Amino acid sequence: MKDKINLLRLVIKTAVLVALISLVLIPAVGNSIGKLSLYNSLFPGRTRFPYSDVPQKAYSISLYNLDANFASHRVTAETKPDSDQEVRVFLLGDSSTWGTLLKPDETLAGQLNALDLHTTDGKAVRFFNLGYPTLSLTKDLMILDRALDYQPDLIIWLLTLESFPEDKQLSSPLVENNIPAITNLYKTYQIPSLTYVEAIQEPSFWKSTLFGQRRNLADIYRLQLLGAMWAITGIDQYYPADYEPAARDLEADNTYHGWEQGEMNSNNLAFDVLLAGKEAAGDIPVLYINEPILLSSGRNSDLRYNFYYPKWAYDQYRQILSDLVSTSDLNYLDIWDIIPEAEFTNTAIHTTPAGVHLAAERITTPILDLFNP
Amino acid sequence: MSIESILILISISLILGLLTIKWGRTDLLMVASIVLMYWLQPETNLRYLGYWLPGFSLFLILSTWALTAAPALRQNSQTWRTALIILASVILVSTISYADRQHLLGFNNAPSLFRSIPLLIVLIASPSLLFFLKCKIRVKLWAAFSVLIILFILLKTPWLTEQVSSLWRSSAGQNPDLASAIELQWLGFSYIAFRLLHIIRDKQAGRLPEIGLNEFVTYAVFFPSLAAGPIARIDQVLESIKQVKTKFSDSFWMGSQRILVGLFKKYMLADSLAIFALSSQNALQPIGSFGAWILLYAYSLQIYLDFSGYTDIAIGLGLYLGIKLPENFNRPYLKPNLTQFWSNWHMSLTNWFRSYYFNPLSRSLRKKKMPALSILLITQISTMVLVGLWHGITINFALWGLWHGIGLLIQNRWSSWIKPYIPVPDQNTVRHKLFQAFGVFLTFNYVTLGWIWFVLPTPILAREFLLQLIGIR
Repeated sequence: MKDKINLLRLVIKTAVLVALISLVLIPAVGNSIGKLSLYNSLFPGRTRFPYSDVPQKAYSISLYNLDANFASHRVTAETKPDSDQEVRVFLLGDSSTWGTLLKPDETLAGQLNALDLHTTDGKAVRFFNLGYPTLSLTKDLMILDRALDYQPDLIIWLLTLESFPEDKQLSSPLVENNIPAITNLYKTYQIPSLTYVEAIQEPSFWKSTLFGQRRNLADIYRLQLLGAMWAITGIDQYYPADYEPAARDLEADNTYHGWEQGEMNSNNLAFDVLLAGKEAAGDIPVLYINEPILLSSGRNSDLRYNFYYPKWAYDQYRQILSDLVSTSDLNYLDIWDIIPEAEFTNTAIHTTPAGVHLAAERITTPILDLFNP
Repeated sequence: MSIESILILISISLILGLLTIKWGRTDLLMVASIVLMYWLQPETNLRYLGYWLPGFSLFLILSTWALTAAPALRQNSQTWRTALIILASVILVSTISYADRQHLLGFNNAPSLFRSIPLLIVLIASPSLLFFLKCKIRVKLWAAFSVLIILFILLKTPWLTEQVSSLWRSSAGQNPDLASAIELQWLGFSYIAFRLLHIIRDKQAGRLPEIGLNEFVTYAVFFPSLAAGPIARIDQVLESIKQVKTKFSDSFWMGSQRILVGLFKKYMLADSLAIFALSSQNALQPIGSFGAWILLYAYSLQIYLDFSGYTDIAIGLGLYLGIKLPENFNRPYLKPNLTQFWSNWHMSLTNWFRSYYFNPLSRSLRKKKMPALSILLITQISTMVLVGLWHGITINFALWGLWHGIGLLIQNRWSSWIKPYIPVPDQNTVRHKLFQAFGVFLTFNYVTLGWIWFVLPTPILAREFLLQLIGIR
């Protein structure tokens, strides 16, 4: 039997099959292959997006396929219940919203859910953590735009100045790897801060073949396998036994992103991305929250609040944001200074569970007010 | 071993397979195996150890040959020619390793050639002094046997390995306080040592065939089976080392099939299962007992697919080179009892222990007129404990062996007891098939539970995990 197999014919058939899969099937399916997921069926959906550089310890992986990120999230599992039973609140933001060093239940969304909030007409308020580590408003806008498919009743967008500079907008790998989506946002909402996406070339055809997609496909496959460990352990992040605490003694540097005092203004910060978010949300209310930061009491704390921010820059940012809120009629809450210095962990925006609890308690009433006008 | 390394080995095997059909077969296979032994040796933190370990392997191999070769073979010109080829290969590797400071070719860094080459010459040449050693061959063979066993114990006992590592660090000017057992990784030593022990025992028993030096070295460090076996017996491969017995096209076809199956098992299935297979890191992390069972079953499948995948690749590479390595696995998880499981799991190792430990010990105890049950108890349990300790001299490996020894004993007694009451059913009956299925289920689960001791490093962790499995923890 084996002698009758024509090796040449076998090789040709295999090559044709591989070429068809690589050059036709994979480009045709495109990025939407990420929608195929074992989460929310075989495994429970994750309570936050997958993100980790140490998959073998965190049982999670950073991947840049937006569909795969969403497909693994619990938010896509649950169809919206009858609107007189429940309202859905989506939380957007950076790693502090996502919950670096925090267990799922200790994140802002986790603690808000634990408060078991109800609107005055008896609807349960359910919070979904759609934060994603890396500081970029454009990344948040991209997530917001996609999250609208899952019927939020309220969007809470947690902000910090470090997400605003224009050079930060494309610096998130999630953004860098989803340029077509960003271009689409730019075109739809005419966002001046993102003008330079026009200059970025669309990915080539080869990028869409099996060869070009190999990393994407491998990551999606690994994400599915890691779902087993997520289901078994409930762990989705590596918690090191020890970490370097956020700096309290600061450099005597009074510049911010290279700007001296007086050089920073609303034109070089991406406030227009915030407004695009409001426009994208349409009738769904958006609550903007200026998130807590570390107010350091160490060396040079007269010049700087923390590692990220000189005082002048942060104060000016708050002023611009406050002005924008008035002129654009935004729902806004500023809780920048509500968390004591001792409750910050490894950066000037990451806090302990106790710190998150303070924030959760502080924002509860304004959230409920939006449902109980 | 990375997939890149495997692909390189496949390419080399194909080229060698074609080249050695016509000429230079044994020498080429030997040189390739020596060079690849150096290339495959993992890098270690111990200065230059990664470079010296393959040299030590060669020293052990040459010494064993010197002790076991027929006197006529020792003196002939072919032997001296082979010795020179070995020396030239090693000097070539040393020169490349020394020159390639950037580590581009993947060899371990060598010390300066002025220091390494004289030592290498001593390592390669000194075994010839054994020709002139004036003592009985019986004593020499037992001495060699003991040296290998002592070395094995040194390398497999974590505390002792750490001491060796510490000594090496001191002599190499490194901090001995940083010594650890895991930094002393001697590629293929377990397999090389057991091949050499088999040679010595066969020599003692007078059943060793005549083996030329080049065939002997090729057998001991044959690169497809260096990292993960199987432990072939010399008589299984000697003829095919000397000359090709099958058409290359047939070997290519069969070898490719085995390699593809092996690659799929190892890099697709086993590596995927590894993500959620039981390990010391995740043993206490499951939220409930169901999750703990998933981890355990995943490990059970992973270890089989990983190990048998490597074996498939080794057998496939061997076929490219015209050498049929023995099978190591034959659907072990589908066997209806533990005896059959062990006749089909890591077969080359269990056959080794059967031939050189279990059978001789049984015969010896029978001569002493010991009761049959005592013989069974001693032989079966001690054999399985030794099989466990072959993987590492730790309490958990001993417990793993004990678990299987007890299992085999219980199965043996049960079979004997039940036989008169339940006649053997006809093989085609539903009843027989049900019996078989129940046996497979029971055996698989017994073996799977045994892996707890194998994979977890301490008895305490193993106990905690067991409690978790039954929902107590």
